[in-house]
Amino acid sequence: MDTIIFIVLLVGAIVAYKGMKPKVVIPVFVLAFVLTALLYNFHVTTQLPLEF
Amino acid sequence: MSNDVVTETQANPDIPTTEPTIWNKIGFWFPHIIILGYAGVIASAFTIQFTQSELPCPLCMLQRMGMVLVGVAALWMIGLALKGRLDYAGYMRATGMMIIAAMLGGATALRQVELHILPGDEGYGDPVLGLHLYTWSLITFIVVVLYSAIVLMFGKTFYPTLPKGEATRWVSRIIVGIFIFIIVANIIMVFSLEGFNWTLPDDPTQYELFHQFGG
Repeated sequence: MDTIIFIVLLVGAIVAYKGMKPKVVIPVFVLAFVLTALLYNFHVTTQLPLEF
Repeated sequence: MSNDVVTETQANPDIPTTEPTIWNKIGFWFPHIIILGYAGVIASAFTIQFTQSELPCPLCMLQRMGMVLVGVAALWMIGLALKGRLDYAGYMRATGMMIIAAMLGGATALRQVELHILPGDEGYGDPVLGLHLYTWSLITFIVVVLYSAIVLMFGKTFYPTLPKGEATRWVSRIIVGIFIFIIVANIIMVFSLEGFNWTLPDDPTQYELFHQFGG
């Protein structure tokens, strides 16, 4: 998942630097944002192997 | 400047045609400072990773994603400014995107700070200048939010305008090239660390890709 997100970010960086229109850049940005947020949610809600 | 750009600039009343002020020039270099700063931070993290064999945890990786996401917004501003297509709406959009991205990155950094907040906890990894990398990361995200909010408060004052001269374009291209190189390096590094698994382990101890192929 991390690899996929970085690939989406690379695509986002390229389309952004090319100065493409908002209808291209913003969806790629939002996709990268949502994927990162979902991965964050996954990592902070998985149970840690703690024993007390 | 190409004919296309001139035509578009004249057609769009939201692209100023007046002579740029010193503030406009500073506004042009601010996004460059952001992407160069983040490229430096990620390159430092790479150095620590390879010299001290300290593998990045999932939260570290999420912070790098936040940094690159901030960089994507900054790159959009730079790309549009270089092509003479940055209007006020585009400037505000890109600045707003920087705030959103920095808030996500800041949330991941804050989470990691919280994990090591208890007295006696030595934290993850070695501190740099007295603070751990995730604490520095949180500070950079706060700085980005503050910077973005302040330039928006000033309205059109810091609207980025490309300073004259071919040297400016080349410096800009070099900075952007460094940032893109860092993203590509991250892809290679994270793929070798994660391998064909869906996520990184909570405490990575090896490069999964080499382990998967090496048996």
